[in-house]
Amino acid sequence: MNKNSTESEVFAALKSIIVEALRIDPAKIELGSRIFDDLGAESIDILDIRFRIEYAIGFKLEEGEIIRSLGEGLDNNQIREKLTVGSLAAFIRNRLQQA
Amino acid sequence: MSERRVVITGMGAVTAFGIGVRTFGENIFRGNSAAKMVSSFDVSGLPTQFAAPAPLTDSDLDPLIDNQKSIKTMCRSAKFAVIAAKQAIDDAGLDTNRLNPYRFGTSLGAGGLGYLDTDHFHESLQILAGAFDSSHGARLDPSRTMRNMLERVHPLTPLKALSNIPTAHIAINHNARGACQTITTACTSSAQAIGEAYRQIKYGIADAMISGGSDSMINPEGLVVFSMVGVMSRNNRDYKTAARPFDRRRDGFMLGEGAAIFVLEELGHCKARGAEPYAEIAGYANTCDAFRLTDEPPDAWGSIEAMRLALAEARLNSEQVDYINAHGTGTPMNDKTETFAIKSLFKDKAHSLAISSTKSMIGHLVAAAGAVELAACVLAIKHQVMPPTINYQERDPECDLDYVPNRAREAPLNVILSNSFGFGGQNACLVIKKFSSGAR
Repeated sequence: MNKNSTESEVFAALKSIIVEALRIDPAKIELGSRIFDDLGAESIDILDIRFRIEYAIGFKLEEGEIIRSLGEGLDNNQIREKLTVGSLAAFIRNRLQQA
Repeated sequence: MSERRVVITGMGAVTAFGIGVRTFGENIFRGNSAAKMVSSFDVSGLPTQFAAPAPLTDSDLDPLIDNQKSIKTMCRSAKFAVIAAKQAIDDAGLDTNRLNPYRFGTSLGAGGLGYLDTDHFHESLQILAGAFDSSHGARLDPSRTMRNMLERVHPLTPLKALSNIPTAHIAINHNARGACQTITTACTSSAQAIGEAYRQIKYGIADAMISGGSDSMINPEGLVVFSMVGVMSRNNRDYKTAARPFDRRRDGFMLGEGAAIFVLEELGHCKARGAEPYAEIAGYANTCDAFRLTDEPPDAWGSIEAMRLALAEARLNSEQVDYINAHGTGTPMNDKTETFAIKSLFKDKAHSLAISSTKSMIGHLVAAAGAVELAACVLAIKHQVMPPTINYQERDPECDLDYVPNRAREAPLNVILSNSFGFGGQNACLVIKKFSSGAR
C-alpha cells in the first residue's frame, strides 16, 4: 500500500491482513464488519493487525493511534461499535496520505 | 467417604513416530529408533548433530488445531500439546459439556524455551546484526537491539514464550475452569504435573483433569544449551545407535520432542458414564535431593525416597512391581545412580526386575519425558508387553540389572513404576496398576 492506493486497493489489502490475523473466511469481511463483535477479534488481535498494517504501509504507527482515530474519550463499547473494517481502511488511507 | 480412585481414560500423543498413541506403541514395541541427523537447521558447528525430531512441520500440525486464530500464539510444543489433548478427550469419549467445568482442570509439564524455535532464532540473529554500530567499529548497540526488537518482532511473541500458554489453550478449548497448573521442573515437569493432577482428583478437588506434558527443544537454542552442559551424546558417527542407556559405552542422551496428554478421572465419574479405564494411577510422590543442581547424591536418597513413597501410597511393596520405566537418560551418571537407587530399594528383587528406557528409541523429551513414558507404561499394561532398551550391547559393571535389552518382552504386567528425575534435584515417581474393579 502507498499514498496512491485507491479505496478498493486499501480494502483488499486490509482484508488479506484480517484474514491472516483472524484466520476467517474472506467472504465474511465487509466494510461494515465490526472487528470485535462481527469478526471475532480479541484485544491481542488488534496488536497483531496493527503490526501487519505497519508492515504493509512501511512505517510504524503510534501506540493507540488507531483507537484515537475513532474519536476522543470513547468507552470500550463505543470502540467495539466504531472499529469496523471501513473505519480501519479510512484510517490507513488517511495515514498514507499524511506520510 | 470411600477412597477416591483415579483412572486414566484417554490418551493422545505426538512423538518422533508421528501423531497418535497407536503409532507410538507400534514403534516402541518393535524396538525402532527415531534417531536422525538434524536437517531442519544448520548443525555443522555443534558437537551434537542428531536427535529424535517429530517428523511434522507447521503444515502438518496447523490443520489439526480447531481454533485456527490461536495458532499465532503457539510455539511448536504448544501445538503438540493442543493436538494431543484433543486426541485424549476424543479417546476418552468425554463430553465436556456434561462436566461441572469448575471440577475439571488442566495440569501440564512444560519447558521454558519452547518458543525459541528455529524461525525465532534466525529473526533474533537478524535483529542483532541490525544493531551493530559501524561508526565505532563492530560494536553492538544494546539500545538499538531493544528498539529493533520492539519494532520488528511480532507483538504476540511474548505469549509464545510463557510456559503456561499451552495449558491455557487446552483449558479454553475444553472449557476446563478448575485448577490450571503448569509445572516447569526440567525433566521431571510432566511426571509432576500428572502426579499433581492425580492429587486434585484423589483429594476431591476435581472429578476430571487433562494432564501430561509437551516440549520441543530440537532447535538451535536447545541443542546449544544442552551442549553447554554436556549431557547429550556426541556420537554423531554412530548416531543411529548412540542413545544407549545403561550400556557401558553410553555418552549422554539423544534429544527428543513431543507430547503426551491424558484424561484422568475419578473412578465413579468414569463408571457413571460407562467408560473403560486404561489403567489406574495408584501412587505418586515427588522429592528433592536438596544436594546439587545437576549431581545426584552418592547414595541417591531423593530418588529412593520418591520410589518408596509412591509405592507406599499405592499400598504396594517392592515385590509387587513388575516393571520399571526408568528415567534412563543414557548419561554416565544418571544410569549408574538410578541403578544404585533401584538396587537399594528393591534389594534382592532388583536383579529379577525388568527395567527399560524408552529414551533409547524416542530420545529425551525433557519436560514431556514423564508423560510420554507414562504413555509407554499404559500401553505396556494394555498389551502386556514391556518396551525394550535398544542399542544395548555392552554391560556396565555398575549397571548390572535386567534392562529388557533390544527386544520387547511379553510378561504379566500388573504394577509399573515410572521414574523421572530432573536438573535441580527433583524426583517424581508414578505407580500405575492394571485396572481391577474390585476394592484396592
